[in-house]
Amino acid sequence: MENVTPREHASEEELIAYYYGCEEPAANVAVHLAACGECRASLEGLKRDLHVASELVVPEREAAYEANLWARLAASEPLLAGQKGTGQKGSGLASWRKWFAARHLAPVGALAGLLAVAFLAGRYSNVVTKPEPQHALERGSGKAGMERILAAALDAHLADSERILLDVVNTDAGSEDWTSQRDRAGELVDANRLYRMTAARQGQAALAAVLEDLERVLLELSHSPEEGAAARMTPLRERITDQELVFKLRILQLRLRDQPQRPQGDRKG
Amino acid sequence: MELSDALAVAQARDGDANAFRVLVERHSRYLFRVAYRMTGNEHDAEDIVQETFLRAFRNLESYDGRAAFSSWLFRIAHNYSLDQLRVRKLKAAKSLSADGDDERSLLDEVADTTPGPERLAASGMLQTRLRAALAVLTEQERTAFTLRHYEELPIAEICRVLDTSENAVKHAIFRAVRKIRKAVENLEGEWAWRT
Repeated sequence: MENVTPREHASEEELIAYYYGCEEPAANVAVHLAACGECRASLEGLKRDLHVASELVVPEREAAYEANLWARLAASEPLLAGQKGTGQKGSGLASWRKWFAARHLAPVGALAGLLAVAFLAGRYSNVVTKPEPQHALERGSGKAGMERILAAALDAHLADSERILLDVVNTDAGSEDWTSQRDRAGELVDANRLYRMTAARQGQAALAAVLEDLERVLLELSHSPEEGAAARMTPLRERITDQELVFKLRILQLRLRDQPQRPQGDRKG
Repeated sequence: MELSDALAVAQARDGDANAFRVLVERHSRYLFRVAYRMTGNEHDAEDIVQETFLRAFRNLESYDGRAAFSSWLFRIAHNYSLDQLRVRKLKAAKSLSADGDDERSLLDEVADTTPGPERLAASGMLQTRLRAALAVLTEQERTAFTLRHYEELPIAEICRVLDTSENAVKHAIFRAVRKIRKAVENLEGEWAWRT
């Protein structure tokens, strides 16, 4: 007597497990399928239904999907901001940490007051193109409250600039309406020029270089034509990314905000 | 030489954001694909991708390397989609307590986005139905089915993503297939025009 009892038909679960290659029932089900036309038909029905499920279409992403995603990530996470593309030896967070070490930026807090005083002095005397930073500093020294306000003005300038750059980086590549960004950039150019010149005179080459890069971007943006703006924005966007400008501006702001207030005893006058 | 995921993770942990960028560029497209199949919604899928990478970056220390980096991303994405679902249910409950309707389901949301009759007739009916079929699955069923059926991940890997047993994953897939088959069967009478 044959000791192999006829197997019952394969259950739907067994067929599904077999279809997906689960090891446990596969061997048994395979043997049964070889002899059972009804179960083979059931398996074909399962395959047909799952084939239909495979037709779910996923929308294609744009060619620059990864770059755009990275820009959004960098805008959300400061530690990712301003990083160059892949494969650039020597770039990266570690090198930026080095660049922005206290040795380079220790004077930034003091310079903030200097720059802001110079800026406001220029602004209120309408001599924007010929600032007198040293004199302005002398006039401003010893006025802790004023210095804090003026440092806040520089901080605000950097924050405004950063927002514009982020707008440029994150706005849809096909957008033709850059009126808002163009107008805002135009408003910041003069102030930025003053900050840059003062930084250069004070020997703050690294800071001056950042402000120079920023100024070029602001200028280009403020002079961008109304027509064909989308095409002009692509290289500008690339320059912002390549020069890591957003990240640099953010670090400058952090340094400004982290500057401890000088104790009253250090002040003269 | 191409940077391996493991090496890129190690370098990113040491503060090299470019190494993390390698991971983003390598995994973002298929993470979007999975997220879209999990949500049936382009906007939600984009949100999941972005949040997944942010959470991954902020929690790189917790990646132990036992699972593939992609599986770890899937797990973060799945957990985030669960978080989002809870938020939606909470909002829906608050809203419904005001107007007294039944609880809003994912299927309702898909129905809300159903295109007009012309577009349906032209090409969208199958896609709409498939999204609706996926929308009636639970989060676990949808993730398990997506990872097995579309991404062809081994069951053991899906167990790690869902942090559950092999048996639970298999049953989630079985339930998902049954529900999808039911939706597809209902379509058969309507889509003769396709064949």
